[in-house]
Parts: sequence; structure tokens; C-alpha cells
Amino acid sequence: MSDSINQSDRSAARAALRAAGPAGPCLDEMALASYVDGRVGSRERDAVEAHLAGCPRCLRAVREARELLAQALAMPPLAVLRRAGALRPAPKVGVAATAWSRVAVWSASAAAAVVFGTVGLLAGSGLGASRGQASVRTDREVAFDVARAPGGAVADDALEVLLDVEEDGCE
Amino acid sequence: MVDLNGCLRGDQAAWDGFVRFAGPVLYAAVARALRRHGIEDASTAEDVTQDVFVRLVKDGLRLLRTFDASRASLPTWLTLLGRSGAIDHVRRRRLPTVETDADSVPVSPEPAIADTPTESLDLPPDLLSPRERLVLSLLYDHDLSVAEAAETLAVEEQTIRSLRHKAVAKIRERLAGGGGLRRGP
Repeated sequence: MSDSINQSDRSAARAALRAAGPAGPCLDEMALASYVDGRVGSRERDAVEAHLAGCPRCLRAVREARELLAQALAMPPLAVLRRAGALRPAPKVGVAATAWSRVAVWSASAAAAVVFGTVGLLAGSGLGASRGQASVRTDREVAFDVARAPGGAVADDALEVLLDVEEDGCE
Repeated sequence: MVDLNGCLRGDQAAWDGFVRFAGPVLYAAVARALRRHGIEDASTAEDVTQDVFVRLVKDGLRLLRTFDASRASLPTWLTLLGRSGAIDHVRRRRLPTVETDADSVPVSPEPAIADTPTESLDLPPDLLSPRERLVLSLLYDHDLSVAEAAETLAVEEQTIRSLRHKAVAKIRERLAGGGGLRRGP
């Protein structure tokens, strides 16, 4: 079977693709990850592939994800782990626990220092140590300070103001 | 071992473990995705990685809760999140490269043939299977090689050739039967 591209085949193929109609809204990362990992059933696979056939954005995400996953991991600068470790996750629970969760959110903790030390051993003294001191704080982290201040806004509320990342869509 | 349930309960030790695991995965995805768009400085990669962590814990860990270990592995999901974070950053900065990037193409663009005024083909939407459509899209819309298409679908190259052959045969058969050909103005 030849791999050469026949022009009439190309025209016919494009007509068939057009006949299938619009691709619909982009898939979320969970759906894309499931497809990339090959953990989809036949029905879900059909749905994902029908979308990919008409959505260049999601198709690009799948292709790049495969490429990225094939590459070696990169040890991040120490500051990345230190800053992420300082984000204390706070589950949203029932009303009775609301006060606790709001007080506890985002507070830096001693445990973050454990992360700092542990990863420091892994990363060595070069890259991480030098970059750790020069780290630039983002607006969002400044918001955490506001949230922690006595009488300050709740962290999530502050984030709502500053966080403009689209929550929906694949990118 | 990543203790996601512990993270969801607000356990700091579990979160620390998650950060140690997720940090290298996210950072690698973010840094490499940014590099594809011409952004090479490490501080931007740091900030974008941190933004992804913030997204994960924001609003009572809403995003982290959407992870389903029965549907995908954590590294794959994190890689896609990191890449998305990088793309979001590029869009916000409105770099000139975005304008020429494939991501700027509208969803479901009309194929070039739709602009051809002299002839078009009417074919039923369900003539081809989703996989056959995807293979034709990869080969004829995106101009990928058979090898690249096989990599995209994680299948053998021969599978791609077979799917293409079946799809084209279906279209030809349909056209030979008298259906589908329409002359334009």
C-alpha cells in the first residue's frame, strides 16, 4: 500500500471530514489523559477520536503530551517545590468545618521546610540553591499573604479576583 | 507513593509528597511547552508551574478532585495540565508566535475544499468511523506522515494504512454509486 498522497483522495477525505460536522467543545485534561494512556473503552475512544478529527487544539494536546511523556523528567528548581509546598491544601467540607478550612488555607507550614530539605538533597546544591533565593513571587502568592492577614479576605476569594485562568476547555 | 486521598483531606505530609512527585512532571511539561513557543527563561517556567499548583488546590482542591486514577495515570494527567498552563500563559502574553501557531486555528475549521466553488461532495456524516475520520484528518488535513499518524494513535503504521484504505474505499464506493457528487455554481 503506497503512502503517497493522491489529490483526489485528499479532496474526498476533506469532504468526508466536513460532512461529520463540528467537533464540539474541547475535551478536558482527564479525558485527554485517559485517551493518551489507552484506558478508554471503545465507545469513549470513538467519542474522543471523533472530536480529535475536527479539533486541532485537542489533537495538538494529544500529540504533544505523547511527546512530552517520552522525554525524561526535569528536576525543577528548588523554588518551585518550596513554593508549591507552601500551598496547604484545604478541602471544602461541611459547614461545621468551614471556619477551619478558611483559616488553614494557603498557610506556609513547617512541613514545607521538610520538602525544601528533601528535594535539596535530590537536586544537589547547584541549580536549586542558586535559583531559590532569586525566585519571583507571583501576584497569586501575594494574594495568599492578603488572605492570611488578620481580617483579610478569604484566600479563595482573593484568588477569584486574581486568577484569570480559564477553567474550562483543554487549553 | 502519592497519597491523593490525604491531599484531599488536607494532610500536609500528603501534600508534600504530592509536590515532590508532581513538581518534576509539571515543570518538565511546562518548560518544554513554553520552549516550543520561544519562551526559554526558567523563572517563567517556575511561575507557570506554580500557577498550575495553585489551580490544583484552588477552591477546595476542585481540580485535583477531578483526577480519576481508574481513567489515567497521574503523570499523564499532570503533563497535560502543565502543557495547558503553558499554553494559557502564552495566550495571555499574546506573543506574536501565537498568531502563527496551530492553536490559533478555530475549532473545526472548514477544510480547504469548502472554499472550492466549482465542486463539492455531499457525504453522509456517518459514512466513516471516528477512527477512520481521524486518520484522514491526520493525513490530509494536518499533512502528517503515516509514521506520525501511527504515533498519534499509538498504533502500528500498517493500521494507519489499512484505515486509510478502508476510508477512501468507502468514499469511492459511495461516489461510484451515484451519491454525493454535487456540482457547484
